[in-house]
Amino acid sequence: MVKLVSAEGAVIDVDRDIIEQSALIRNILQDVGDTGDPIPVPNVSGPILSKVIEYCTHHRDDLDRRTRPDTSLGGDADEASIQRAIRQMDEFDHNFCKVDQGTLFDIILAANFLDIQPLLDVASLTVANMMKGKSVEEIRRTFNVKNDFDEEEEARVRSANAWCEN
Amino acid sequence: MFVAGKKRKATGSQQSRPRLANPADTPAAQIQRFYKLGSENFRQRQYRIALDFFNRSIAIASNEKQHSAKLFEMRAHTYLKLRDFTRASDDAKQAIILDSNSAIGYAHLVSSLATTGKVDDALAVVNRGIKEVSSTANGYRYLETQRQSILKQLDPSYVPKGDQRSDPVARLPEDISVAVLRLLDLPTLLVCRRVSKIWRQVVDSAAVLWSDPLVVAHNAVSQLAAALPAYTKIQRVNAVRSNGRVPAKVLRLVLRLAKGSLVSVCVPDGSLLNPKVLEEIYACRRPLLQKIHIGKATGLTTVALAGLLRHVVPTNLVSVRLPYCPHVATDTMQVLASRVPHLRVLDISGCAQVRMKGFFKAWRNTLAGEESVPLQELYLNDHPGLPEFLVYSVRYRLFANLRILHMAVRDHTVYTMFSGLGPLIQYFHQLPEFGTPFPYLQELNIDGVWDATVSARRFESERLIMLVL
Repeated sequence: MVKLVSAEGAVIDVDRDIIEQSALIRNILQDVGDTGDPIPVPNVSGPILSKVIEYCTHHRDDLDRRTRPDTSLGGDADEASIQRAIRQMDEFDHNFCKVDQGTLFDIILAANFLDIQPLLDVASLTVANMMKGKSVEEIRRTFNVKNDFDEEEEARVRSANAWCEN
Repeated sequence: MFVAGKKRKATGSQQSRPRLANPADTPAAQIQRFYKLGSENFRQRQYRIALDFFNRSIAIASNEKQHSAKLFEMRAHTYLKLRDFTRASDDAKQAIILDSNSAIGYAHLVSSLATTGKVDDALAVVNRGIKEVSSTANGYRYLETQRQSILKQLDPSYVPKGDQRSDPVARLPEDISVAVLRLLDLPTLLVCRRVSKIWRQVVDSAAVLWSDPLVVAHNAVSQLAAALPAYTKIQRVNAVRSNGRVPAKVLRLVLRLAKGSLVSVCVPDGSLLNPKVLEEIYACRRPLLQKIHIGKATGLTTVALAGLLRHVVPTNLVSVRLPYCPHVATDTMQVLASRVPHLRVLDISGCAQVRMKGFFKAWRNTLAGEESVPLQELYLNDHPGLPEFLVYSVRYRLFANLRILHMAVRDHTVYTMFSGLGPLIQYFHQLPEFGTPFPYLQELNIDGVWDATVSARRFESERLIMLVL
C-alpha cells in the first residue's frame, strides 16, 4: 500500500501496482524505496486524485499501455503513443472522460504531473474530439471562450480562412 | 534550423548534459551557461527544460551568493508560461528584492496576480512599480500598458473574459495545448486560430502543428500561406489523397513555400506526372532532403532526377522510391549510384527500363574497397529483371547488406517479360547450396513469384523473420 497526500492534505491509500502506472510515483518509489511515508501530490486535489486512481485501477492489468511505443525503426513517439490511444480507447475510457470540462482539464493536468501517458492521451483525445469539425462560434460556446478580437482583426482572419468554412 | 517534435529537442539537451557540468568551470561561468541554455529553451518554448536549467543556475548562484535578479525574472516568466502562479509571484518578488529597478519583476508579479483574480493587489503592485522603477528601465512601458488594462478591468462596466476554467488553451500549459491541437485536422486548426487571441497565439507559434501538412484542399494553399508564416516551415510534403491526384498547381505551391526546410517529398500516386512540378522541386536548393518518394511520374527522367540530386547533401538522402516511373532507366541508376552511394532504401518497382546488368555495374563502380553496397531495403516488385537480379546477386554478392527485399509480381504480364524462369527456380531450389547472397535478410516478399516457381523449396536463413508468399 502506498499513501498519497492530495492538495488539501487528505490521505488516500492505493495499491502499489496500481499507482505505479504513474511514472512519477514509480520513480519516487524506486529512488527512496517503499518507506511507508505518505507521498505528497500537492498539485492534485482529492476528487481528481480519486478519479485518476479509478482509471489506474481499471487498467491495472493492461501492461502494454504503460510502455512507450517502440520507435526504434523511426517514427515519432508522441504520434505512436496517440495512435495507440486511439486504437485502445474502450468504453470505460469514453465514460471516464464524460465529465465537465473543468474536471477533464484537471485530469489532464494531474496525468501530466503524475506522468501517466495513456491517461493523458485519452483525455487529450477527448478534448480534441470536442473541437473537431466545429465552427468558431461552436468552439467558443463549448469552451466558454470570449471573443477578444476586434472587428477588423476578425474580418482579416475570416477572409484568410474562407475556403475551409461555409 | 527548425526541429520538429518536443521529444527530440528534449533528448538533445539531455545528451549534452555531461559536457555542461564541466567541473573545471568557475561557478560564475556555470551560472551563465545554464542561464543561456535556459533562455535558449525558453525561446523554443521548451518551458519545462528551461525551468530545469534556471533551477540549476539559481542553485549554483545561491551557493555562491551571486544572486542576480535576471535569473529570477526569467524563472518567474517560465512559471507564468507553465501557469504556476504561486511560484511565479515568489520569483518575481525575489527579483524585485534583488533589484529594486526590476520592471520585468514587477510586470511578472502583476501578471500572476491579475491572472489569479487578485486585481486590486495587481493594481497596487503596478502603481508601486511605476513609482519605484526608473522610466528608462527595460520593461517600464509594459508596466504602463498593464496598468491601463487593469484599470479597464476594475471599471464597473468591464465584461470579464470567458470563464478560463473551461477554456483548454487558456487553462492548460502551452505544451499540453499543443499536444491536443496536434490531434486536429487542418480545417479545424484554422478554425481554432479564430477563437480568441490566446488561441491564435498558441496555434500560430507551434511550428510542430504545421510541419507535416497533408495537402487537404486544393484551392486553399495560397490563402493558407498568406495567413500562416509558420507554413514556410513545412518539412514533409505528403501528397496522398484517397480520391484522385493532387493538382499540380497546389503541389508546386507547397513545394515552393517549403523552401530549403524540406526533408521528405512523398507523392506516390502519380500526382507528379507534370515535368514542370519536378522542376519546382529541384529549383530550390534542398540540402536537407532525406526522402524522395515519387510514383508513376512520366515526367521523372534521368535528367530531372540528376537536377534534383544536384543540391542534395549525399549523406542526408537515405531513401529514394521511384516506383512505376516509366522513364527511370539504367542511366538513372548510374546517377543515383554515383551521387548517393550511401542510399539505404531504393524502390524501382516496375521500372522496366532499368536493366539488371547496368544496375549492378552502376553500383559496383561505386564500391571503393568495400565488399557490398550499404543498401538495406530494395523493392523490385513487378520488375522483369528479377531472374537476372538473383543470378547477379549470387555471383557478385553486391547486396549483402539487404534487410528487406520485395520481389512480388502482381502484374502478370511481367512473367512474359522474364528472360526465363530457370534462374528463379534454380535459385529457390539451390538456396542452401548457394549460400544465400543476402545473409542479413529479414523480410522477403515473393508474392506471385511463388506461382511461377511452384516447386520452390525452403528458405533457409536464420534471420529471416518475415516472408510473404
